Amino acid sequence: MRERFLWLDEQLYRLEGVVIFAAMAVLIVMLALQVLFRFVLDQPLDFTEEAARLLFAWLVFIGAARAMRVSQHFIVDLVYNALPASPRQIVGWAVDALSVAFAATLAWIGFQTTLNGAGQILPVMGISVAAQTIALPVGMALMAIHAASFPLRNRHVGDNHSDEAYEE
Amino acid sequence: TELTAAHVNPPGEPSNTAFDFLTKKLSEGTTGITLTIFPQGQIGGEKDAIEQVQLGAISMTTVANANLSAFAPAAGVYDIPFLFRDAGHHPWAVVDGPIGEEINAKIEAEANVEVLGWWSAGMRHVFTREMPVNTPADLAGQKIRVIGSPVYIDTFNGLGALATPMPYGEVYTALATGAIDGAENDSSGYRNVKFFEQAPYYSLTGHFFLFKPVIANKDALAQLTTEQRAEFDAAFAEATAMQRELFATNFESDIAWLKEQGVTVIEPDRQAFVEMVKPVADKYADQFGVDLVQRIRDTQ
Amino acid sequence: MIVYILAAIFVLLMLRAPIFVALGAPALAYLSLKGIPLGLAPQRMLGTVNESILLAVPMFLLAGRLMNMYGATKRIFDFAQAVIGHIRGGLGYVAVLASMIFSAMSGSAAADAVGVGTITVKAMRERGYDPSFAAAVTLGSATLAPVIPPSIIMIIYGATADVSIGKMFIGGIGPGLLMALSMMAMVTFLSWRRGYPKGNAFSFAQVWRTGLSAALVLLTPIVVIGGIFSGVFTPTEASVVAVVYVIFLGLVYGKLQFVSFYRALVGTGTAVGALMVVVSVSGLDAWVIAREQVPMLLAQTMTSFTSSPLLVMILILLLVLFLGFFMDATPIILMLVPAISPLVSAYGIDPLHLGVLFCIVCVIGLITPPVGVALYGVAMVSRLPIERVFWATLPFFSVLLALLAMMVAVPQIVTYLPSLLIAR
Ligand code: NA
Ligand code: NA
Repeated sequence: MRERFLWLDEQLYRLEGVVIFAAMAVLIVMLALQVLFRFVLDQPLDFTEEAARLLFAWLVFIGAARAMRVSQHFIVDLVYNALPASPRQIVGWAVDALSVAFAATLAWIGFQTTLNGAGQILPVMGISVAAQTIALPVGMALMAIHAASFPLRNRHVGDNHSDEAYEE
Repeated sequence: TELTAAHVNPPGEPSNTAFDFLTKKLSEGTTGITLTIFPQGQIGGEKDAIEQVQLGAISMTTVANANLSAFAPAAGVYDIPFLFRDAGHHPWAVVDGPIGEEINAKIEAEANVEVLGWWSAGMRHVFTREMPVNTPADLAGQKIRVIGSPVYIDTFNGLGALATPMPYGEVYTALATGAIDGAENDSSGYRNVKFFEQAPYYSLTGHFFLFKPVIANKDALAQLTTEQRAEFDAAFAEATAMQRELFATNFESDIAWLKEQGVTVIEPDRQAFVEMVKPVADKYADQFGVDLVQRIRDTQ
Repeated sequence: MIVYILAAIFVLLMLRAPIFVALGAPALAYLSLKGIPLGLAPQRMLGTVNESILLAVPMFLLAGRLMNMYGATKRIFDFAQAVIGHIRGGLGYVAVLASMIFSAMSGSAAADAVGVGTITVKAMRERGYDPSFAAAVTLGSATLAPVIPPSIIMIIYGATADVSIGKMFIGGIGPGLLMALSMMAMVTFLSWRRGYPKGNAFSFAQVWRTGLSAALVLLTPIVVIGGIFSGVFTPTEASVVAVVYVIFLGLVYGKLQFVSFYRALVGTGTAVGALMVVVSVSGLDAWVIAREQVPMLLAQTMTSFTSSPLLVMILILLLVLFLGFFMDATPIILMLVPAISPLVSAYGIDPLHLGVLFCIVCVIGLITPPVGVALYGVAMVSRLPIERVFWATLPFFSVLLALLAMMVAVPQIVTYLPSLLIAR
């Protein structure tokens, strides 16, 4: 069970990398085309602004999920590091639990809000706004899985973790 | 009973004044309703406000009709270019009459909100940096910033301009550097956001009449007792009359003030624009029902 | 109520909860206690980052990262070292200058902090500077971005408070130059006190050699600033142009490789997620603060103390400074301006003078914890703990406060240039 969960955690982490790469690459190409079409070709594109905001939402929330896995979220560890070992362990578990609960709650509420609000249209592209808003619950669900995998590895949310993509 | 309202308008803008008036009127009333207002986009933009009304996080809001139509497509019929002959009578005859009731019912079903009434954001006009717009030919090849909404984009492309959607916050700088040649807005937006500093030619094309529907959360109003609801409706009717009146008089004073600032105000031949954009108007008439659109045009 | 929320945020921060959790969990608790639909949380979180202007942050972050990867940073800093390296703390001046140049390309302190910070901190660290000093100089001078035009904050302020945006832009130039000079003075002082390194003696041959090697990199700001001011692209689009230009440099230098490019994009996206999720959650907190009408109550309380216009202005700025610890610049403007605008006219305060100073104080809030997007950006790119970066920035922070006092006392620093250049 534990092994399966950690395997899933690992696979999702790799998948997130692919999604983030795709979102960044498309953003660069699209915004460059926006300038090219308006200034050089005198044919302003109408969909790029809306599409860019859609991609940005995915970038933010999938990026935030991946940041949980590689411990890139901002923390203040001054007090934590000064604690003796056993209170530190308890605080660590409490923060793990809170992080999982927070992300899972947002995933659940966000999913419902997305369903309820799916009638709204992104006017220029003519698609449901759900294509954008579902990014939050998806990202938060992934984040909850990553947060839960910390204690299963005998670590705590916020402990150092290497990120191959982060090293230059 | 506490009600809340949110809007994005600055002090001095008629919707801001009307909501303040409504607050005062209700606090003086006898049935114990209070209204707390979050003005100037404090709780988010117009689309955010609509979503929060749907959720019930706030009780009511007023937004540009173009924004409501993303939630309730039926509202979009009012955004057809040159649908209304004037700003003073024709729009109100439509929304306060039987056609208005029909469309309200559709909006209430589509967006799951209650339509309280229709306020005014007046006619929208074109402004440009370098040369005045007297005829549609003057728009040819000009990059005009529009709201990212298909009918706005089609209308300006139909007029021969290059419709350029761009976030509102960047329009001022883009006008200053020449990334765009012009944009379109009502007189108070043109004045408040200081677009006139960079684009001093204001051409009264009146291509859209922009409504500001006031919408409310259904449960928030359902909790009012019969007496409270009667008092609310009476106060709201007064606020509506006041908002519309203020918008009409503000337009006159805005124009006078803008001229003092050195803005060139142009009154072009509107008919030439109407004819040029007819294919676009027809396309949207097909979408919303040719009958309905004709009935709106025929309303006296 | 709001006091309990702030206390909860503080406690969670101290317990090493991720900052977005510390900011978000108490807000969720508030919603459920008040019976406000929880669906508001995702609404505010998504609504806050649904802004195409924010795209400048990932793009400038990526541009900086690619410049490091393709050796562009090394070229430009070798050149800077050759020009100014014989002076003690020389690269500190280079970092301030880089921020000034960047300010003309960008309207956002966060974009400046991550864009400039990515390259300056690495370069200074490699040349023997204390990394926290490098981070502090970068963070201090990142405050220039929204003060030197163009400035997104000033556009929002001008539109909300009915002040000429053109005048505010020009009004920012004086304070911006003064801020840059003071940062440089602080660099001089700190380098002398701490005995920072001096490089090799000055040599023309060295300047010429490194200058040639850096020529294409030195063109970057010219391409970008030239493009903005000639109307080719907007300041937000400029960030993408910078990325495309740096990729072109990578091609010229023969360093373009798919694997490293893939990693740079993924790493940037992850960093953006960490940064923007804090901004996103702070939008929810801003809703709670607005719902509790905190700014309005504070403004009313403060002004009941005094009737002097100068004192009212000082109190307003102190209030902005206080809110700046907890909130991003835009929500402060949107919430506070409606509460204070009646006071501004009643006390006869010059709206342009107040407006520019208001924006500068908002910008200072971007470098202070617990909600400080520029602070986190620099901590991230310098890989230093937040508290260490913040302590190291305190000298620059104090300089900014002293300058602010001076600008309150001498309004001409703000108002002289606009009165000269804009007649109406
Ligand atoms: Na700037
Ligand atoms: Na802060």
